[in-house]
Amino acid sequence: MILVTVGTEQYPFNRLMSWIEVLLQTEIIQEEIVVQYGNCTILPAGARVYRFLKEEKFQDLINQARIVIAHCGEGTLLLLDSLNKPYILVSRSQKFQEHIDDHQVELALALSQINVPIAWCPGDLVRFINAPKQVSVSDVSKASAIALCNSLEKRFAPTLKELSVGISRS
Amino acid sequence: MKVLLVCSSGGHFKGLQQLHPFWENHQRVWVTFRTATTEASLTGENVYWAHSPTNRNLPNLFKNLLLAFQVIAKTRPQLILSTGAGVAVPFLIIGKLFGSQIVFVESVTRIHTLSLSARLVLPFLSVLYVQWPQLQTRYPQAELIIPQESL
Repeated sequence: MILVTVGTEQYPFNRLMSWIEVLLQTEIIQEEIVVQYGNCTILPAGARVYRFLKEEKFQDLINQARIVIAHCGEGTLLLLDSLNKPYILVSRSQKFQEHIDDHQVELALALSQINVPIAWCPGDLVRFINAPKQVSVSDVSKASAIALCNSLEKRFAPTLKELSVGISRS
Repeated sequence: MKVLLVCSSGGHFKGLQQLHPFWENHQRVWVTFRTATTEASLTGENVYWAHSPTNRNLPNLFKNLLLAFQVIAKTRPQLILSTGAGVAVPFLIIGKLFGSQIVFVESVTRIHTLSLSARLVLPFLSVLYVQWPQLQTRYPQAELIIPQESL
């Protein structure tokens, strides 16, 4: 089974839906396809579709899936990356009214430099479906979270403690 | 220290959750959107639910502005920490007026340009954290998060 997800973003991502539909119609994909389509207004014929999934059910489907095809959002990326599952990302673009700006395109470009699979066209999806690969970026983001917490603690906790000691509230 | 944690759902929420080693040591109040995920993760936390969507939605902007005023006047946080996006804007600006320290952590998905919410709150921030050197080059006042492994 292949899981396709576009997150809970308020903009539709119909381009990806059309790509999936074409791959199903031409029988290039013969596996079962499950789609979490969010706010898309085109749904690929032949796929099992859900608008929004509860986290638990979503995790379940990811576990069952052979491969995940997802939009290039931070939440989705962090989730996929914490699991041992091959995934490929397709970025939403402002040009097609798929997001408010092009940060997903920028992220996809940066991720492609560290060998994360990114699909820029249906052909990339086909190549990936035939030869899935798994790359991890989570170590970087976990390390960033630790660095952030240390910086926040160092910067704010001592000064604010002193302040609250120094100011009499009575 | 009293901390107000404000973010939208999805990746912004995951990002703020990842900062638990910091916020779990402090008295805290959350503001985010009600979804199955946020509701389950925030069981037992002190939460105010914000109005969504916020992109180009004027009624919700006013509702969240009102909510921001109520929450901040009531809780008087010393620090307001946000990972974005739009929902944070009224909270950060009103928080500044109430004398809070204001911190914005730009999403890892921002590489060359700041998000609209970050640009809107930029003048009110105590610190802006960014996660890519390319972005810090463009906004030298921002602090670059350097993961410890690379130090």
